[in-house]
Parts: sequence; structure tokens; C-alpha cells
Amino acid sequence: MEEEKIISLIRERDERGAEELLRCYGPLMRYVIAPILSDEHDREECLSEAALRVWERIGQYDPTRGSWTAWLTAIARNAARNRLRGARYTAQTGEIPPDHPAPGPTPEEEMLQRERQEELRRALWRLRAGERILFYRKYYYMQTTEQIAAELGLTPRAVEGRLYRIRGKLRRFLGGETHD
Amino acid sequence: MIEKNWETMDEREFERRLAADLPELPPDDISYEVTPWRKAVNRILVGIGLNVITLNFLGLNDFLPAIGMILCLLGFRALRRESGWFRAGLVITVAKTVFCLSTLVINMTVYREILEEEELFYELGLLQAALLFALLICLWGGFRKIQRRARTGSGNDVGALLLWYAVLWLLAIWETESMWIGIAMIALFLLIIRSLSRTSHEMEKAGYVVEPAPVRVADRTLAGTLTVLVILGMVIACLFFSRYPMEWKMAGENTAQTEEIREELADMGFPEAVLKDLTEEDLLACQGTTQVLIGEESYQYFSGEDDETAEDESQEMENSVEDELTNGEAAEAGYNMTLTAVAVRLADETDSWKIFLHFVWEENPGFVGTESLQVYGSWNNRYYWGWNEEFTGQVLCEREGETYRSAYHDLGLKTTAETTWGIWLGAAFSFPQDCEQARGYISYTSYSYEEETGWDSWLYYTHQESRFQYPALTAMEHHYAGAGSGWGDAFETLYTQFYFETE
Repeated sequence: MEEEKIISLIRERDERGAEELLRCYGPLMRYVIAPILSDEHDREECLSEAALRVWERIGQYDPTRGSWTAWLTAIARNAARNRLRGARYTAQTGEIPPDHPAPGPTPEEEMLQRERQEELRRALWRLRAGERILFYRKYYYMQTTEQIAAELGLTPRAVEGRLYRIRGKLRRFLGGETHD
Repeated sequence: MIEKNWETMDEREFERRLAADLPELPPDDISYEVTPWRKAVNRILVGIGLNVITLNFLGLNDFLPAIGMILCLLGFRALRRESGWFRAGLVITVAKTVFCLSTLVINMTVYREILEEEELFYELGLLQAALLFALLICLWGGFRKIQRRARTGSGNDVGALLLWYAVLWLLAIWETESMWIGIAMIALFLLIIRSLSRTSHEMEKAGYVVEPAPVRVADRTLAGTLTVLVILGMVIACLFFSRYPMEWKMAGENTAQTEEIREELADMGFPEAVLKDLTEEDLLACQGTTQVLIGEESYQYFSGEDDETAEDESQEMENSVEDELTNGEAAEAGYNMTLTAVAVRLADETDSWKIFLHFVWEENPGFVGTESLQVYGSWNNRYYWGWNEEFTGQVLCEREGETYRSAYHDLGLKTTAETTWGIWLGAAFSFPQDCEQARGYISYTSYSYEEETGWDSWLYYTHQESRFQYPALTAMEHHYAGAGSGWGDAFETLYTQFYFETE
């Protein structure tokens, strides 16, 4: 089924949309989740959560901001990271009390983060296309060096070397000071 | 307040900040490119496309499939753990890659001509087509398995590609020349491109289940190594295997009997320059001859320019010759080759004539690759002349003060089936690089059906002037294929007509 059709079904709250979402884009979302969560059970549960988020937040999808694939990638990634963060927090502190406030950034921190994101975004565009893809695989998709190497036809050592050079470039591009 | 400087931040902190500050939404080009399958599958599809398309100029019919096979090799290598289909595809790809790369190397040598003459090329071509078909089947099977695992798609597009290729192959085997077949082939070619594109699109959803296999040698290293090996192979082939292997031996002394025949022929006017180069067998055949006729000597000039310029300059130089020139004078006058024809009336009952067509380089030929002589003789005037299809000859040269001789690498008849030009007698040979007075001759025996008093022989000499050509045509092939075949026209051909008239 075409992408527009699936989006349309989900917006119309037609359950066929959810089915087609998992059928057509399940492999993509699993691909994004897999490097972040090592447990197979966690991955499947995370996939369900991510699909639910797509269903609930379909109104937030704006094609002018990015493609459907990019939006699904972001949702799947965030779902996996949240699950991972939750698991780590539980491991460190035990079960979370129901009235425990969720940690979040203050408005000032949010503004600073947006500035840093913009700065980083400009620096990333100064990289070559291949370097940018490698960077995102490592730091956005959180893929292992071995996975990146296999998918790009490189050796792990070559991947490490390229990432080292990319970080060096970004240091130079970003250079200067940050303000709190 | 100023926070840490990016440049002074430690590596771990820097990485943490990078990961934290990435925008929520990845750029569209990133989300498009970050897949486990795209690189491998696109390489395979492009590689197969380069093998299906055939462009018969500038050697692209060899270079493109070779590049295509390297791409397929990288693609199938990455997918080898996905299924047995891809593993089988890898094995086939390795075999085809070896063939394609070997072809590039062999095409720089004289052995390519031998393979063509043995019709091995045709059979190998069929095998290659069959292997490509098998590769498409492996690809189809592999895609089907991926799509079943991902529970998407139908694999129909690769199946369609298989069908188109089978039809294309059948059309090529039938070798039909109808305009409609040509149009159908172009349409099929466009459909193949469309199928390849749709196959890539089909993988958009299913391909995320693919897990490429790790490699010990990076793709670029593997491709680069293969490229360097091929180039090296082609250079070595060009430098050391672009001449015919000849069996040069020191010329022996004349026997008393042949010495006597030689003197008789010389007394009858047989040119000494030709006489000294004849084999013992040819001299014995001339025993008891009753008449010797000499064709007008032709002084030729290899300019090293293109055919048109060479023809003009040769004509200009011929017109300036008023008197016969000795070998030394010919060289001084700027001619670098002398062609001579001699006819000897044999002492037998058939009233046969033995024709000797002789050439000598007045100077070192320069670059020595492959050379050829072609004779268009009186036998082509078959209403008046016959021949016993016996022909002889040899080539000679001087090295370090000694005379060496060798049989031709190839001496035989060639029929140009495509024209009404008839039967040619052709000789293929190569001289050593460091030789002097390179020369040789061809001889054939002809007899008249009627009371014919005249006949002619055309003698063509094709000289290779440069090794830079792909594929490496031999001088003989160049003559029969016509000028300009292949990449880099490295040959020059001179010709002359000898006319004999008995009294």
C-alpha cells in the first residue's frame, strides 16, 4: 500500500492503517530499534509502543518538515531511547514511584539546546555527504561500529578511523565557546 | 557564563554532547540512505545493468561488463549470509568477474585472435550469457526470500527482468536483422531499466530485514586491487604478448645443388636481393626454369601518419622516382620499403609459373608488433587462371651480423565471405625489436587455362605502428576488418599491383 494511503487511513482512525503501518514499515522501525535495545522481547514491545505513538501523534506529522520515513525513524528511535533510559533508571534506583516527577529541561535549557542543535546542524552540513551519513549512523541511529562497517562495506577499523576524523572536523567547525 | 570550549572538551564529553544535540528529525537524505540493503542491492542492479547493455564502441562492450561484475561482486559479497541464493550468486559472480577481467587482459595480446579463430569466443559468449541468466535467477530467489521474511512485495519485478533478458538472448542467438527486431530490442532494453528501477523501489520496505555480512577487506580496497591487477595485466600483455611467437634460427649455408640453381636463376635476371632469401625447397622447385619475368619494383613509404596522409605522401614519393633504385638508394631517397615480384616459368608439363612476392624494409621498422602480407593473386581470375594451392615463404632479418630466418606464424587462405573480393593468401608474422634488413616473401604457383599472356598480383603489406589499441587487433585482422576497427587505429597498409606479361 502506498505511503499516502497508509497516512490517510491512520488519520481517519481506520485500523487497516495500523495493520499496514506494521506490515510496510515494521522492518524499518525494527531496524532503527535493534541497535538501541539488545533484548528481543524489549524490541517487540518497543515496536508496539512506537506504532501506538504513530497512531496517537499522526496529527503532528508535517510533510513540509520532513519525510514520512524520517518521522517514523524519529518516533522509533525516541521510543527505543526512552525504553533504554527507563530501564537504566530502574536498574539504578529501583521501581519508579508513581508521583515521581519526570525529569525534563527547563525553558532556558530548551532554548540553549535549540541553539546548540542549530549550531551542530550547520556544522554537519559542512561535512561531505558520506561523512554525514556515517556520523548519523553512529550518533543518531546508535549503530555499532561492526554494523556500520558491514553495511558500508568497510572494516571496523576503517569506520573508527573515519569517525575520529569526522569528530576532529566538527571540533574545528564548532570551535569557539558555548554560553550557559 | 562561558561553558567548556568545544576544542578542549575531552573525547567522551564531546561525543555525548554531539549525540545529545542532534535534531529530533533526521534529514531526509539521511533517512533515505541509512539502510542495510541499499548499497549492496543497488550495486548488484547497476552491475547487472552494465552487463545487459552492450555498447560496441571504444571497448565499452568489455569495460562496462567488467565494472558491472566488480559491482556485483561487492553486492553479493555483502549479502552472502542472507540466503543460499545470494551465496550461489556470489560464486557465479566470482566466475564471471574472472572471465571479464581476463578478457580485458587477453584482448591486449595476439592470443585473442587465436581464440576468435577457434570459435571459442562464441561458445564462451554463450556461457557468459547463461551465467548472467543464472545470476538473475539467484537475484530473484534472494529477493523473494527477503520479501517473504519481511512479508512484503511479490518479487515480480526481478521475474520480469528474467523474462526480458531471456527474450533478448533468444533474439541475439537468432541473429535476425529485421528493423522490427531492433525496435523490439530497444523497447526491451528500456523495460529492463524500468524493471531494475522498480526492483530497487520494492526493496524500500523489505530490505530492512537484511543483515549484510562483515568483510575483512573493504569494498574500495577490493575493487582497487582488482583494478590495479587488471591494468598491470593489460600493460604486461601489451608489452610482452602483442607480437607473434616466431621461431628464429640462423640461416644455414647453401648446398651445392641449390647454389647451382641460384646461379642459373641469376643469369636469367632473377634479382639477387630476392634470390638470396629463397628457401632450399623453393630453389629446387625452380630447377630447370625456362623463363624469368620481373615485375616493376615498387618503392613504398610508411609515413606513420593516418591512412589518407600516408596515401598522399606515398603517391608523391612514387612519382618522384624515375630510375630504378638500389636498396641503399631507396633508403636515401626516403623510402622505407621495397616490394618486388618475380615470376619463374617452371619446367613441368602444366606450364606453371611460380610467383615470388618479396618485401624488404630499407630501415629498421621502428615499433614491431604484428605485420601481415596479403596477396590477391591471379587465381581470382578463375576463368583463366588456376593454382595448385601450394604456397611457401619465410621471413628473414639480420641481428648482430648474422642472418636469421623463420617460417610465418600463419600462412594460409582467407576468404572474405562478405564481399565478392575472392580468396586472399595471407601471412602473419612479427620481427624482433632489434633487427635490421627485415624482409621476407610469399610464393605461389599458378597456371593458365587459356593461351593467356598476362596476369597480375596485388600485394598488400600492413604494418603495426603503435601498441596502443584496444582490443589488440593484429595486422591481419586489421586488413580484413577494415581501417578504424577498435580503439586506436594503429596500422598502416601499403599496396601495389604487379603485372606480368609473357611473350
